[in-house]
Amino acid sequence: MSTILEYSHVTKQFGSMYALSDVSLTIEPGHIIGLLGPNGSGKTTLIKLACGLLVPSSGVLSVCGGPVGPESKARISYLPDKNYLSEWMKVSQMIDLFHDFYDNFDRNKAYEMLKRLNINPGQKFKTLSKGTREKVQLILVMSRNADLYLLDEPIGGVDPAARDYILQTILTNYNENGSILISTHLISDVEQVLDQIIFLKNGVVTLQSSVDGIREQYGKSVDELFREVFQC
Amino acid sequence: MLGKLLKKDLKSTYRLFIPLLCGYGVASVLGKILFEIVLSQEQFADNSGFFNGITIFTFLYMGLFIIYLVACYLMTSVFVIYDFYKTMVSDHGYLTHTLPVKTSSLIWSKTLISAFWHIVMNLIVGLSVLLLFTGHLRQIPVMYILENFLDSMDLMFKNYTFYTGLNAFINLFNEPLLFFACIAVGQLWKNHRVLGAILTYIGVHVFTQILSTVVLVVSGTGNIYFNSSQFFYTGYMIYATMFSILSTVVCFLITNYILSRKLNLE
Repeated sequence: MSTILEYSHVTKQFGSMYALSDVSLTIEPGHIIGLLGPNGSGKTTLIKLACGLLVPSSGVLSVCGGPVGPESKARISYLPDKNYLSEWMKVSQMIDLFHDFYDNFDRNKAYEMLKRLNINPGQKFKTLSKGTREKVQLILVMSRNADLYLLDEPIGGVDPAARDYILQTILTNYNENGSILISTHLISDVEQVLDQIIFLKNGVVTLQSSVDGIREQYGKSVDELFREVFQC
Repeated sequence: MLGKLLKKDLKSTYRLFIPLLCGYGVASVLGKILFEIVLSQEQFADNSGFFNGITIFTFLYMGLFIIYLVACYLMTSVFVIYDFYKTMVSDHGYLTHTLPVKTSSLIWSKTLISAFWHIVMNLIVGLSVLLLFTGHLRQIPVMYILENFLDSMDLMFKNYTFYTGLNAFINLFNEPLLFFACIAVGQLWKNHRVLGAILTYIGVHVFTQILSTVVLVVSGTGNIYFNSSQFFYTGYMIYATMFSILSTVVCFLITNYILSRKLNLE
């Protein structure tokens, strides 16, 4: 199967600051990839470029062989590190909205996950806690049968018990023919689910490898190698 | 997809507009009741303290009612701007811009919803005026007043209604698109993007005023000492119409260009 996501010499500048510098990488289908780097390394920028929320300063980016646009957005399921849910909306209204716009959204799957978490679909978002909103957002994203899941810090702001639930939800609900790109700096929590990693440092890709390859080459876990590479 | 976007935008705006319009409806009914009480006072030549009090209250109420009416029009624009800002360039934009739709469709949807609410607002204001004068319409010779006004201004009824109507129609699209374009230009600022949008709006407003004055003077249309009111009005409205159409197209293109090629949701 062809490449799902390809960055070719992509640079992103904010004023005089380089968020990404000459990034070239490809993502093939059927993988769970960790996008790893410290805060401010460019992880969110890299993901936002693929979603069309940012435009590259130079370079070319393609999703499933085409440019970023309505077609690519139909195939990417994106979980931002922000809350984009409208306070006034009910959970069920948001499910209807996703069902309206995304052909690959599975409404039944979404309701099943809500039921498992005891979240009432009739509740408004303003009445939900921050953690529950994050879970609803994850449910919406993982209820799509997408080719590529871009998850920006899905476990960043939640307690360890919720982290396990989130990782389990991701693993049991994604389209296995597609790929998942998870951005995080909490490596020990996600290491067991990853089969590839990308290290990002100051906007530059310093390493792209399989997790097994790292263990063979360096004799270390990803977490240990990360601590060594990004030592302050 | 435009239909789905319209449905989404209508849902997100109606909760803002419905209370405003319901409030206006209630205020109109109350105004009608007070108006009728004052008229009945005149009919029965009753000058009791109760009726005098009601008359003063009605005048005060009508003053407040007119302020509320103006506020309704202002709030209609404010709600349209608020919705655009919230859903296109703030956190909710993370959802809006990852929907599988073209940026132009997003802008069209916002513009059509704005036009819809302005039309609804005008209809409700029209109905409230009609309600106020119901039962007394024969006493108010509307056409006579209008024709007299137009005669005194040396204007032809046909031209006046055509150009005024045409401009009002174009303005349904021009006004929101101007706001959208200013918000989009504000996004090009690294910091203080709201301030950028406000300054852009002020800049555009000053520029268009200067430009329209120059055009009217250079073309000779604005010379009211030598031209008839009819000539001045027709010329002015033709330029205004052309300018509004041009402004609508330019604002749409600017908004579309920035939100599709320069989007920076940081």
